[in-house]
Amino acid sequence: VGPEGEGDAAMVMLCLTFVSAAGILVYGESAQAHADRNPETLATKPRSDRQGFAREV
Amino acid sequence: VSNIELYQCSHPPKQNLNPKLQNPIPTEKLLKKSEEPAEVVDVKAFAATAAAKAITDGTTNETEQLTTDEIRDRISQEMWTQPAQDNKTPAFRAKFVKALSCGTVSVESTGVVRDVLHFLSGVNYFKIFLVVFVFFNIWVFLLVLSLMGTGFMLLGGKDSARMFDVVDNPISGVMIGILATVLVQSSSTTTSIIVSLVGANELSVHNAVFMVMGANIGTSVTNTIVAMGHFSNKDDLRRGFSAATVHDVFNLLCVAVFLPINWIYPIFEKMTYEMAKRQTACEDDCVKREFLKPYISPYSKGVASYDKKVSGYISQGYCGGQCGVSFSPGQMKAIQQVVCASNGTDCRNIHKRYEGSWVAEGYLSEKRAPAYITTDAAGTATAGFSYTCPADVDCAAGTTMFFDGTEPPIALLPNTVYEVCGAKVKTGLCDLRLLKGGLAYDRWNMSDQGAGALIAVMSLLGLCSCLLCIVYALQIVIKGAAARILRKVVGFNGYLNIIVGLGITILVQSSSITTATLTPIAAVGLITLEDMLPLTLGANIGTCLTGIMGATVVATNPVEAWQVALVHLFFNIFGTLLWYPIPRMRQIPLNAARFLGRMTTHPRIGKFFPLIYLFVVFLMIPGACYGIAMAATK
Repeated sequence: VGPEGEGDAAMVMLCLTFVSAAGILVYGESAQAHADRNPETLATKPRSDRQGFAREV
Repeated sequence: VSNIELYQCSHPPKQNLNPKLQNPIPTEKLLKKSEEPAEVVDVKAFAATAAAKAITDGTTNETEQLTTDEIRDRISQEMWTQPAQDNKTPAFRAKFVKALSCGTVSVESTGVVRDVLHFLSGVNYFKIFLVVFVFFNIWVFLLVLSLMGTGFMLLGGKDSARMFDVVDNPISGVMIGILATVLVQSSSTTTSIIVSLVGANELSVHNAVFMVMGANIGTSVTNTIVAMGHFSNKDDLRRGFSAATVHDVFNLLCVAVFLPINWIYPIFEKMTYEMAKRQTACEDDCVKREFLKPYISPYSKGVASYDKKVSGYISQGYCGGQCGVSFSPGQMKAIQQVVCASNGTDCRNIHKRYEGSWVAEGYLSEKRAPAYITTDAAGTATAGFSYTCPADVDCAAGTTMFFDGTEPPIALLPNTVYEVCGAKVKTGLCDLRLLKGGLAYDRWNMSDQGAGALIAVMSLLGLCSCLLCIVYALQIVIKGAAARILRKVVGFNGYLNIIVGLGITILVQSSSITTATLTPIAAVGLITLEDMLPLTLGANIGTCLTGIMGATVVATNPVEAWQVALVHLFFNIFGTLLWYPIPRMRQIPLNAARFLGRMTTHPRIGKFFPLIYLFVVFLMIPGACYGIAMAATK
């Protein structure tokens, strides 16, 4: 990998991280919304944790 | 009397002409107001369960001794240490075995093939992927930290290289150490710069000691930023912020104790001088050994690289010029006797930017030699020091050589221009660009400032993204058996935690990485604050290795460079000895961190508190002190 190739590779890695983070945010929100609609899942969580960031996938 | 009735009595419906407000308050709203907060319900339920269990088992109820926050930490811990519900069902495993063997082997069969396939069917491939994903993100995190340093250096411009010039008292030294470390996001880098500046005679050991103390404080900014990633969950933010700020508090306390002591009596300098006085300069194989940098640096430089030489020229005062001729000590003595006042002993007259560091080992440094010396009518040259050809003189036509052969002139002729370094003086060194390569320079054709701004923003976004990915993946990977093992390991012994923190930091050569990776785990309650403190202390000591490795390759002033590296090490060791072994002393940083953590639950400023804290502790106070020091210097 040449000097330019390394720069390109670094940019690709960064973009992958941005996309992963965006995906996690979107997926996390939808998983949370889904979990909040499911009484069985909701019952297993502490009450104060039910509005938090979706940890269960 | 129920809560609802009490509420209704104290809040009778008001008569209002507004038709919307004339409607009675819905019962649901009243019920909501009278309900206990969810946190309180959780704590009460946990306490009741623990009390019932204690009665059944005939043991004492430990929960009675715990505070509400501690109970909430236990609730979170229990949630994470419960077995993860991710075991594969027998039906899935049977299908897996059948599918992979193309129907030739069933789960009821016997033999090696069945056992291997059955084992493979139980593997959680998603978790394996996430483990790889975490390592990938740690690598990107290091890359982003490196890019952030480059971005801030470019954004700061050439003047940022003069940052170290205003160190004239311990307080400004500490503040500049903090600022520099916050900007380059690495205490190892700052300490290495300090070691090299001391090695190059540009900084005294006395001032360097205080800058190292500042660098120690500055390094804790990264995990404080990491803790802010938990803003969506109040409890996680409290735990994470406490775990992150225990590092800050410990370093601040160490500085609060050791700065006045070292100011009154330079104990660190004296002690480390005795240890390092026999160190010799590196003569061959002077290559710094680094573990991770070779895998990060090429990629970071591929995006943008920063010309360290330019900042070196600026900070070392070579903007006027740098002599490219190598003179012997005897020749330098002759030059010094001619150009410096008081028979060569006072060189303050020679150049308007003259500094004490221009003299090395009693002689004017050879790189500081002038291009030309002009004598006056009396044949003296004390005001004739210049890096360029003097006005009204045609230097290209030829001037008298100062050294005829190797001998200096016995007596200088009046009104004569002598060539010392001549055309071999390099000028305009400080006019070079800071950005010297990478995509930003070669392909995007950006200015220094533009590239700095882009890379700083990109790296900040990258930092947040990496942290989000690491936190998310770790929370899935760690749940269940891994969480139970982790709890047992970090909860075993505090002194073992110091060694663990030390070992991890030596391997990754960055205390920021160690503490930033542990902070999300502490935020979910798997690492308690009591366990986090020794891990942090180990990381603090482990990061000193970088400075020591920097000192091993210093070619000049090895004793001073070693002194700085050892000061960093002993500052952290003494701090650990002072604040950790005695339980009462240990409670001071722990309680301070707990207090800072609780501040994040404040109903009004809670969510903004980490931001306010970061801004005040790491930017506003050091920035203000730096500004004052700069103004005072000018």
